Amino acid sequence: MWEGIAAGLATAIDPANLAWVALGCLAGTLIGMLPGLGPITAIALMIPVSYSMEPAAGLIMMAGVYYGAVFGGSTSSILINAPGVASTVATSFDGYPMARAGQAGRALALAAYASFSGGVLGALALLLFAGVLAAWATAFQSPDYTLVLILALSSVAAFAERGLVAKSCVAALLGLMLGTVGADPESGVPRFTFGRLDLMDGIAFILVAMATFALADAFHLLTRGDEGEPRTDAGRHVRLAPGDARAIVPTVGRNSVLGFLVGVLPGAGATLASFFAYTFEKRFTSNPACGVAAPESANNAACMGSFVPLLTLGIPGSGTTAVLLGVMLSLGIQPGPRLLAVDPGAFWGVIVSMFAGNLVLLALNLPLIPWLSRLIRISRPVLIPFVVAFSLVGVYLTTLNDFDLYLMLGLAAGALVLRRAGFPLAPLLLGFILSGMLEENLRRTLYLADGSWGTLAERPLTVVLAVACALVWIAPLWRRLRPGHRADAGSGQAPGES
Amino acid sequence: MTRRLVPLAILGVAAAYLWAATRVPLDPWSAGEAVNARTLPLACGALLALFAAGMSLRGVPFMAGPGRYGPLAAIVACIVAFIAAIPFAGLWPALGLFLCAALAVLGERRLTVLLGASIATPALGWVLVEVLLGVYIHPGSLWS
Repeated sequence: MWEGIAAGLATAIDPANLAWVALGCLAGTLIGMLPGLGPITAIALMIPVSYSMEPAAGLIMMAGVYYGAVFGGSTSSILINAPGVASTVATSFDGYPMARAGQAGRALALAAYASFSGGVLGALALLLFAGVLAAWATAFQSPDYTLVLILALSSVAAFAERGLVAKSCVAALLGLMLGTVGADPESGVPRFTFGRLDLMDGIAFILVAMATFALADAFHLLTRGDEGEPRTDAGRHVRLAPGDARAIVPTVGRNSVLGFLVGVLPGAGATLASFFAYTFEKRFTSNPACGVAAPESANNAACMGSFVPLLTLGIPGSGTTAVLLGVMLSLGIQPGPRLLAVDPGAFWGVIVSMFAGNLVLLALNLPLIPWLSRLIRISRPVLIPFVVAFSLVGVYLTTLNDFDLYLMLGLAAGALVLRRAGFPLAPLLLGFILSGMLEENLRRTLYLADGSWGTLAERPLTVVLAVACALVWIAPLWRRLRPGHRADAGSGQAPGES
Repeated sequence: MTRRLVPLAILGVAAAYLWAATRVPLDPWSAGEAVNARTLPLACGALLALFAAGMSLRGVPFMAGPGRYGPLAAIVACIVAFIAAIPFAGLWPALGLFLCAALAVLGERRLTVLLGASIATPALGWVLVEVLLGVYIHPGSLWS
C-alpha cells in the first residue's frame, strides 16, 4: 500500500496535475454556483477537455470538478437560499438565515473551512480504508437501504422542534407524494400525470427546490414590507467569529466520518449525508455555525466516500459517479478490483490529489468570500427580480419546458401558503428526494422476500436499523412525557424555517 | 375558521390524491404483488389525510401578514408573461423584458439599473450558456 501511496504522491504533485486539479476545482465551483448546473452537468461539460489528457490527469481533474461543484452549490444556498444541488439544501437551513442576519461572510467562511476539513478527512479515510469499506458497501442490501431511508425521513420529522412534529410529517408526506408523480419506475405505468406527457418523467429536483426555497422565499419577502430587510454584513471578512473554531471542530469530525460512511453506500450519497448530519447535529447544539459546518463537512466527505465503490468495485453509487465511470472508461481506465494492480498511479494519484484539490478549493474560495457576501447587501427591489430570474432560468435550462415553469409557480404558491401556516419546508424537499429511492428499495425488498414484511427485521443489520427507526420516534415522545418537559421545550424553528 | 383553512385544504389534497391513486393502472403481474405502483401513494395519501384531519380539529394559526399582496401579484404577472413570451421571443429577450418589468414594478427607477440589468444579464447568460457551454436553446418563433 505504501508503495502505491508513494506512486500516487508522485502523480499528484506533478506540476501539470496540480494545475489540472486547480482548473477542475475552479470550473466545478463556478458551475456548481449556478442553479440547474450541478456536479453531473459540470463533469459532462468538462468531458471534452479531458479527452486530450493523460488518463490519470484527466481523472484527477474530473474528481476536482466533482467536489468543486458540490462546494460551489453551497454558495447560492447560503446567499440567496437557492440550492441548485440536493446535497447543499441542508446548508441553507442555517446558512441563509445567517446571511440575512448580516453574517454572510462568516457563513461562507464556515462552509469553506468545513468543506475543506470534510474533504481532507474523507480523502484520508479513502486512503486508509478503501478496500475494507468496499466489501462493507457491497454487503448492504435492499432491506438495509429501505430502513436507512425510513430512518432519514423519520429523523427530520421526529426531531422537529416542539409543536412542529405533525407539520414536519405533513411536509415530508407532501414531498413523498410529489415524488410519486411520473411513470412508475418498475412497471412504467403513468401516475398522477393527468394525461400530460410533461409529467411522465416526474418532477425535476431543481424545480421543487427552487419553488419551495428560492421562489417561495422571494414571494414571502415581497409580502412582508420592509421588516425583513437583511442587515449589512458589517464584517465583510472571512474570519470566523470567536469560538466558532472550537465549536465546529467536533461537529466537523463526527460529520465527516458520518458523511464518508454514507457516501460509501451506493445510492445514498452526499444528499442523505448532509440531511443526516444537519438533523443529528441540531440535537447537540443550536449554534448556527454548527448547522452550516455539519452538512458541508458531511457532503464533501460523502463525495470522497463515493469514490470507494467506484474505484475498488467499478460500481457507480450515484448519477455523478456513473458519469465519472463513463469518463474513466473513455480515458482507458477500467475501475474495479484490478485497477490497483494494473494502474496504481491512477488509483492512488486520484486519492492523493484530493488533498491538493481540497487545499486549492479553500485557497480559491476564501478570497472570493468578501465579494460574494456583498450580494446580500443589494437592496430588495433589485435582488428579488434577480433571484426570481435566476430560479426560472435555472429550471428552464434543466428541462427546456415552459410547462415546468408554470408548475414551479404553482408549487411556489403552495409553498408560500404552507410557510405562512408555519409548516417547515425542508422535510418536504427531503421526502421528495428520497421518495423514488424508498419505493424502489421497498419494492425490491418485498419482491425478493415473496412479499414478506418480516424481511425488514431478519438480519442483524436490519434489526439494528429497525430499532434505530423506532428509537427516533420514541425519543420525542419520551421528551414530551418526562417531567418538566415544558420548562426546557425549545422555541426554535424546524429545519428549513427561516 | 381561518385556523382550519390550511389543514382542510391539505385534507382536500389528500382526498384528491387518494382518489387519483386508486385510479393508477396496474398490469396483471404487479396487481398481486405486496407492493405495487399504488402502494406508496395510497399509504402517503392515507397518512396525510389522518394528519390533516387531526390538524383540522385543532386548527393551525395562519400568518395573514400586513396585506402587501400588490407587489406579489405584480411579480407573479411578470413571471406568467415571461413564461408565455419564451416560445415567441426566446429565453434571453424574454428574460431581459422580465427583469426590466420586475425591477420597475418593485420601484426601481434608475435608467442605468433598468437597462443595464435587462441587457447585460441576458447577454451574459447567452454568452455563458450558448456560446461557451454550447447548449442549444430555441431562439423563439419570432426570430426563426
